[in-house]
Amino acid sequence: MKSPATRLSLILLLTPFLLWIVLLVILPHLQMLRVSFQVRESWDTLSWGLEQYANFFSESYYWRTFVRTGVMSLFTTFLTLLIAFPIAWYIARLASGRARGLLFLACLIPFWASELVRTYGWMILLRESGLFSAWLQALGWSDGPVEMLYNDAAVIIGLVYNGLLFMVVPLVTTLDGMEENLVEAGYDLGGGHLTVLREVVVPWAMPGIVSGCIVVFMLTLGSYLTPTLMGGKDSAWFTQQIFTQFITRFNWEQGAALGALLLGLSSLIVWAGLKLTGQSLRKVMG
Amino acid sequence: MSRWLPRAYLTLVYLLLYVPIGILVLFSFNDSRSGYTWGGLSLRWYQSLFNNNAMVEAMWNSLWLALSAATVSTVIGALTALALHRYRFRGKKMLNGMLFVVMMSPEIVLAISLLALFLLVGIQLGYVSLLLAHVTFCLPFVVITVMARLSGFDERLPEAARDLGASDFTMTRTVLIPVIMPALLAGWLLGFTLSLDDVVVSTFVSGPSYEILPLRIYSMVRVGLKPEVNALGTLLLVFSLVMLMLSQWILSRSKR
Repeated sequence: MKSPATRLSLILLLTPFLLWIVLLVILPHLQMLRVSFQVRESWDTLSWGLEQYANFFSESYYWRTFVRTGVMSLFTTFLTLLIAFPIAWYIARLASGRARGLLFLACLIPFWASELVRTYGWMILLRESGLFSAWLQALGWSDGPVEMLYNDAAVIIGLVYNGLLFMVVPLVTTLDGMEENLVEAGYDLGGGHLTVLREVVVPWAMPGIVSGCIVVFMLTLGSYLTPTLMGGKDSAWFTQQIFTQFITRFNWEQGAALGALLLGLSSLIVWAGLKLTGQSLRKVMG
Repeated sequence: MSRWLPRAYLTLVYLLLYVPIGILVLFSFNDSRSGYTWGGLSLRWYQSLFNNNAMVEAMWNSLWLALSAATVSTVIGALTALALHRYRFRGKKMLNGMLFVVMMSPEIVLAISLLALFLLVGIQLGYVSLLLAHVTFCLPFVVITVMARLSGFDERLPEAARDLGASDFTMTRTVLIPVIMPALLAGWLLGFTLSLDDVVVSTFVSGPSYEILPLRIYSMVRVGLKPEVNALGTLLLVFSLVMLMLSQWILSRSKR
């Protein structure tokens, strides 16, 4: 069916993109995988093996950090959902006309700042010589300066802040399409607030909830700046271990294996989440 | 349900959204070194920034990098979006899926895989490696912006142009390009901002020969919080805000 001319123009249009995807996406990832299976036996001999992957499971420091990062990311995602849902509900169903557009825009603008700037903003507020500490002292709730930075709570605040918009947008989109009659019917059938929420609203909003949760979870699990800048000495994040192996220790083989594990395990968690909620990626990502 | 409760909640959340950024901007004009007392209005931190030659050079490097990365990814992105929109071919769904995979996968994995490749191939770490890396993470966003615009495009327009005797080239120039122009501009501005703001990927693929602004800010923040950083952060913030507002404005204006 296709004429040679259309075929030619398709090839011309697509070539730069194919070059990009092969040379800068697929090839580098394959190279990373290859490096991760290399075992350095002495300074000039390499052999193939699973040593780096075995290290991940045998050295508790690695897998403990991974589990910690995963659990904290799940918690962050859940917290983001709890905070974002009422906002999305207000924007999609209670606000009208101009207020609606303005509220949505007002939610968007802080996210136009870079992650570095946003995180830095929180650091000025939470540090020992920062504003919150000064307020606590002025109110007489504290005798001396309070350090609120460099702990897990600070990291979670930063991560929730970074993820909020990515939860609000899909929720607003799904809640927007829900008809008022549906909620009223729930109440007419004798449901209380909680029952209507559980039986009517949440099932309806499920695609939005799942899509928001996936994006926030992936962002959180893979984030590097926020945990590094706001976390303390003990609050190691998995991405920091990859950085340490690559840049500080020059142990590329181990760093590449950790990178491959991060990619593999995070995809696995997302896949399991989709299966559990009975959603498909295509539907969720629109 | 009472009316004030939702409103109070909303006010609180929006307040928390703006406080960190607001304080950053406010304290960049603070004459005092302190993080909590106000010493009067002053531009001294901005002055000390612009008197720092290394800083000004990093600023120019960053702007040049963002300009070139945005331009390259817009050109490739526009061609790709046209191909994905106009033609049906095997593997099209997979290519579409790859865009999302690249967008979603952790930045740090992209960074180490690119670093490993650059060193294998022997690309020196500096402007070229940064440009390639930035194009890599900007491209999916540009393709998706342009495709969104094309999906609302009336297919009868190019047909009408052809029926009226226009060649493929004329049709592209007089019908297609004007239609996707707003999306191209918006995509370019988005790419520019993404490139200007990136820290994680740049940390891995930049070399000592080419210093860029976000990395300088990052290393300053890690060492300790200095008032100069407030001014730098504010500059970066204003830049991103202006670029993205422009991009949104172009897109929304063209919809009418």
